[in-house]
Amino acid sequence: MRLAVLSGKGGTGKTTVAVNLALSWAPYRKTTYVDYDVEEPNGFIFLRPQIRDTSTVFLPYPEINKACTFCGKCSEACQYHALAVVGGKVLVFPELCHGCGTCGIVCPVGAVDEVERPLGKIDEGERDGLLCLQGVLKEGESLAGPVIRGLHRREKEHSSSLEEIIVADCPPGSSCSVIHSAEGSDLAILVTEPTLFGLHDLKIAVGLMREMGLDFGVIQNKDDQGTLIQEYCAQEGITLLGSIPFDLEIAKIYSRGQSLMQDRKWNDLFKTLGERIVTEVKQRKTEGEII
Amino acid sequence: MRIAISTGGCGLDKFVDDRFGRCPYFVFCDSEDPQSTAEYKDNPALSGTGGAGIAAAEYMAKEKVEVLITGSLGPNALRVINGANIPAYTASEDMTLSEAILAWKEGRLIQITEAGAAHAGER
Amino acid sequence: MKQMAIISGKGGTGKTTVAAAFAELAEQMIVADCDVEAPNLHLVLAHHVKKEAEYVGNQTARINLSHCTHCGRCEEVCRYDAVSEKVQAVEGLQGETVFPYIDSKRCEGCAACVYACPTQAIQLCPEATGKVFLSETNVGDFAHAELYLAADGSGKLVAEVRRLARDEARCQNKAVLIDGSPGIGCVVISTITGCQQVLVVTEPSQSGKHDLERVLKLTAHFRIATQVIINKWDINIEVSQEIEDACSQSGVSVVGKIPFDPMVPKAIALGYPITRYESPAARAIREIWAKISPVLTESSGGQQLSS
Repeated sequence: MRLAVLSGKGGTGKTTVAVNLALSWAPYRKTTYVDYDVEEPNGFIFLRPQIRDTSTVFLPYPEINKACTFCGKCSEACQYHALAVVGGKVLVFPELCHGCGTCGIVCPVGAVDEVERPLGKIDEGERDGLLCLQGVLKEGESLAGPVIRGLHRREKEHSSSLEEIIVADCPPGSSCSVIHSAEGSDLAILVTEPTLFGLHDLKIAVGLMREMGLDFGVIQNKDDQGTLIQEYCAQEGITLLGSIPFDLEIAKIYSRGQSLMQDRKWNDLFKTLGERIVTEVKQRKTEGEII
Repeated sequence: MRIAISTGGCGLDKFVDDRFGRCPYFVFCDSEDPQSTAEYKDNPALSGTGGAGIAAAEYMAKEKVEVLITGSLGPNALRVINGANIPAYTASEDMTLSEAILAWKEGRLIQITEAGAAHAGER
Repeated sequence: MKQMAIISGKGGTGKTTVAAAFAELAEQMIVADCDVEAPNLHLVLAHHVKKEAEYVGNQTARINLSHCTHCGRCEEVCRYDAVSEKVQAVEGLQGETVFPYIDSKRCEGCAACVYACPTQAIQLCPEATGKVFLSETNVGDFAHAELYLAADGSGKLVAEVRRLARDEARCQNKAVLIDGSPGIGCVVISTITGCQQVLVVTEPSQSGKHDLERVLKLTAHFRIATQVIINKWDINIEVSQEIEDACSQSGVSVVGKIPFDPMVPKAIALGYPITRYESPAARAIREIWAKISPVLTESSGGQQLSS
């Protein structure tokens, strides 16, 4: 099964939930953790996997060869203005190029060759039997999409049955990056916190899940015993999968970049939460099949 | 000489717009007789999805502009303007179009040789 | 016209808390919420909407199936896996037939299929990205936006919010204060380019530190003056020190440290900036503001202009 962990608002505890759930499952079932927050990946800070493979994600961009007649069709067709034809030259702006290949399609004389530039990388590693993947966008680059797509392809090489688990740690926000990281999941886990900001952004995330037609449930982090999130979930008929208490000790362990699993109390909490989620997914699957 | 100036309004008494790629209009005119030759055109780069400076600079080349007056040019726009061999001069936003043309004629405008702030990411 | 953006790399470090406090301390600035994917500033800035407009910033490809010969070229050239075969009902044809289908959530509007199609059956069609608002607050005008659900183009919507704020700032001769989003990609790049000053709000955790390092590389790449604020610095004093050391090594100044303060979430719950209250965090933010506000108010000579 594939589980996506997302939040809308940043800093609500996506990585804490994704990392500790992955660690709670790893001893019992084949589990893969995938960090899709390629702009700011943090999961590996806590997991500290042994990296065994790093591959570069490239993006193609055009290089104009001698056949060019300076007709200007490439520059006209390029939606990103990555090419300009002036003064008997073709100027190429690789950093604006999305690598779509349109210039090559429109060129009547085959003057467009493609070269590649590095956009980011994908790391693969392992820790105590937990397979770990992360995508990392290069600083200064704007296109997270190709790195996310590359990561998706890599994830699919490790096919997943219902018994095996893939945990996708998604980026914050509600953009195309979130959609592409979450799609294809059996369940989306929305991590929120009981503040006005948390609730506001949870509503955006819920709207996005409904728009995508993804099954989802909520985990409340930094639970302060208030009723803000419970009331909203009850009103909307959303499953509250579990709660993680507000606890300065958790904040301290987190700030040191450690997982919570060394501590008996939190270990138990994530184990219970993990079992609850697996049961929930299987239950929804069987219900789905019956219907 | 065929001059182009980035502007916020249509009229020689209107002001220079210091944005090149993102100005609403360009005025094109003959420096010897701006009054009767001035033509105002929408900036075609405005509707584009990023790379506005590049698109606007390419437009200058298509319009066979010989002198460009604007606020500043980003690195990409400057590369295209240089590629097209169009000298570009900087004028401040509180100049009207006629004042800017006069200032250029009298050699009071400074040529743009270095790029201003990049606006990448507006995509 | 000066522009300052508050960003963070890592999410949830307190950007909006700081931005709302600055907006109130500055009294008269144009404020822009550029976290269009998860906007929060409007929740703590009492405002009423003066102007509202739909922003159409995207184009996606659409197939006119009655001209489609099902040659498969579109699927072949699309590098975003946006084209697939799908059973569809087509006008003028009996029943349902398999035809190419373009998933608008995947389409990047690159036009490859438009040009590749031998029968000109595909066109780029404009698509609404979201809504932009100009609101009035008692501390100045406020530009913000709402991204439509699952809409593409948040970077462009950010550019639109900034354009709105910039135009207002020009007319009113004021500075612009921008509340940004987490990350370092297109949305953040769109938020900071052309700014004179970037403030990075971080927190003393290994994640915060890691993300700060990446965001500092980004602002260095775009050559924008950058300063750092450590929020909740006393949650982990050692990591705070590590962050200060890392900053001084890369020549970036830490302009202030805000202590952990339970009043902050309370103020948010009440819908007010923290500076309305007398509390340790509010005091620290006032001190920081006193240090950085001259950047926004000093004479505009030699400013960087937009291209």
